[in-house]
This record gives sequence, C-alpha cells and structure tokens, in this order.
Amino acid sequence: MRRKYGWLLMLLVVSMLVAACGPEMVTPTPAPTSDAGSESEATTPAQEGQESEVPVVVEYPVDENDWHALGSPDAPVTMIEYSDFQ
Amino acid sequence: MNTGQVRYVFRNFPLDSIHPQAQKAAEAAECAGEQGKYWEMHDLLFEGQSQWSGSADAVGTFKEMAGELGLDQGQFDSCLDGGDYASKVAADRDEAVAAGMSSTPSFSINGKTIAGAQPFAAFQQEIEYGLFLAGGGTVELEVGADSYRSLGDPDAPVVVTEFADYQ
Repeated sequence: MRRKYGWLLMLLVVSMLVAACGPEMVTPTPAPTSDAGSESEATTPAQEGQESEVPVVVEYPVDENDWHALGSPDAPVTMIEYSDFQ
Repeated sequence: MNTGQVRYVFRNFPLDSIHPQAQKAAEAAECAGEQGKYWEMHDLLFEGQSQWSGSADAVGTFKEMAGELGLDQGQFDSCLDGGDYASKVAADRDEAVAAGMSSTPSFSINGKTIAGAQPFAAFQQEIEYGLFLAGGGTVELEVGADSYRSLGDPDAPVVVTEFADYQ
C-alpha cells in the first residue's frame, strides 16, 4: 500500500511539475509571434505606402508662351492660382 | 521659388457674375504681358484695385496703368480695346471650371485644391508635403512611450499627435 501511494505521489508531483513548466514554455511563444506579426504588419503597409505615395509627383506642362509662371520649371512643387483681379 | 523648389503659376479665372470688371482686367494683364510687363501689371491691378473696381471707366484706369509702366500706349490700347486676349482669358476660365474651381482665389498645389483665401499654414502644409513626396524621404517622429499616450503601431509611417484638454 505504501509503495502504491508512493508511486501515486511521485506521479502527482511529476504531473504538477509538467503542468507548472508547461505554461512557462508556452507563454513566451505567443509574445515573439505577435511581435514578429506586428513587425511584418508594420513593414508591409509602410513599404506599400512608400510605393504608392512617392511616385505621386504631379507634373504640369507649363507652356511659357501660355502660362504666366514664376520659379523653376523643374521645381518639384507647382502651385497654380486661379484668380481674377477684382 | 528662389530655391527652385516651387513653381507658381497664375491662371485667369474672372468671375463675371460678381466681378464685372474682372474679364477686362485680366485682358489688361495679358496685353501688358505682350510687352513683357505681365507681372508688373498683375501687381499694379491688385494694388490699385480700389481705383478701378467700382469705376464705370475701369478700362481707362487700366490704360493709365499701362502708361505708368511705360508701355507702348498705342499698342496696349489697341490690344485692350480690340479684345485680343478675350478668348485666351475665357479659355483660362473654362480650364479653371473644368479643374473644379468655383471661387477666387483657388489654388492647386501638385493637384491638391485649396479653395479660398486660406491661412498660410494650409499652403505650407501642402508645399512641404509635396517636397516630402518629391524627395522620397521619410519623416521620423520620435514618440516617447513614457511621455505620451499612444495607440497604434510604434513604427507607423504617420503619427498624429493631439494636444487637447478634456473640457
């Protein structure tokens, strides 16, 4: 009987140890996963954003004979004012 | 403009319904431009707006302005009286309407419309954004996690900071 209970006791202790260690081994796993996930999520939109935004430089054909303009024709920013004098 | 970063273009957009002299004023500027004095007349028209805006003889005032600028008076008068640039001004107006403009002044900065006389900051923002895109650079804003309450990805390319109270 003592031996039987002894084994049972040993089994219980081992089970408790496994149960206690288990979560510790599992817990860190989601953390890096979520970090990695957020990193990849952060990288992808940023790259997509850069790809879609950077080329958006509007080039206006400024005809010197028709348009009244000041500044370099090669300026990256063109501001057109539509106005009258009154 | 002096640094080559911004190109400024002026397009005629005379609102005839509320600004009856605007068409002829635009033509006057074009006629002055024919003699190489467009911007000088442009400035003079704005500076002297009160002299001709309510006048029954605005054209006469435009001719006087041409004299002030030292233009060939005969050529200028003929140009203005003959409506040499009437169709050009009308074409400019059509272009403005087609671009979606409905009030003066209206602006387009790299395709982004700013309607009305907005504060300087509105123009600054669009110009700086245009330069940012043209440069292909990225804006790095440091948000200290300890000093700010923030939501969203710390690596997000855009950071919106609100300075506010609760009342």
